[in-house]
Amino acid sequence: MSAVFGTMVAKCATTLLLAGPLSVPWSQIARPLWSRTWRPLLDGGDPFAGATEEILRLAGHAWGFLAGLLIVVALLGGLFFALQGAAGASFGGGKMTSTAVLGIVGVVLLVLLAFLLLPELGKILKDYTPVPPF
Amino acid sequence: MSEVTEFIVSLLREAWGALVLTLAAFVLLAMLAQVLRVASGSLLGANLWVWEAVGAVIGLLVLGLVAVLGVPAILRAAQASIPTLRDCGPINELGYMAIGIIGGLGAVRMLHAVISSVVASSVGGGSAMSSALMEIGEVILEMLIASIAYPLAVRFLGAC
Repeated sequence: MSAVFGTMVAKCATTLLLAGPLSVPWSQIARPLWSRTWRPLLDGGDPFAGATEEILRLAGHAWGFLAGLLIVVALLGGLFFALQGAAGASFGGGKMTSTAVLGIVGVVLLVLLAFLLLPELGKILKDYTPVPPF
Repeated sequence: MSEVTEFIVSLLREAWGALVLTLAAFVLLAMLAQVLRVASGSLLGANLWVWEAVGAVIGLLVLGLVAVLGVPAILRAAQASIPTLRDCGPINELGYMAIGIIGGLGAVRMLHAVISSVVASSVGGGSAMSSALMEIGEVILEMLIASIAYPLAVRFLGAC
């Protein structure tokens, strides 16, 4: 009885193991690979266009994430410096207040640098993309 | 033979274009990450963080400019150093094909080295710029060796 049960379990396990890989939609893996990489290569197109598109899309998402993080850090930092300035002003700590003011100015400059200078730098890098030197 | 060479060179040209765009994206992302590090460091009062991040931003800018401006100029100079021998028959044609492929591979390899260094620099890798410059130096050395070996081989084979 146990041998029959064991055989049944083994057969079920084997079926599941074999059916697992077969159920993977290989066409969903192979078709994009063919159409986005090898087909353009054979048709004389750009085989790297698909990969470049994906990389730039992910880079765009990463840029949005980092920019949001920078805004959050800058706002929190500005709040912290404002608190520091208020505390310094309340008990006559001149150095503390001036440090806080300088800190706020620094944070604002940093954010302006990041949000104005970096996109311009990106445009410059994009506009001066060198042609292949070979 | 020439069609195969043209195909390989055009593939390398497409790879060059893709790598330049990828490099620009990585440089900007890495600079933004370092600016975030500067902001965080200045808020915490961690001066060393701030200076490290400022140094990383400058290093990333230099790497980007080296890739966009320096690598094409270096490559053109190195390719020009490989001599073209006239009236040497099919060896000359093979030489031209080899120069094209050597130049293409060298360009892609240099750009790959810069991209690796940008990625390493963005996560705080200290020797990022030096490894990129060493790789560029290796490629130039290989092209110079090719420029010496090619005419010697042609003369050895008795084609000229």
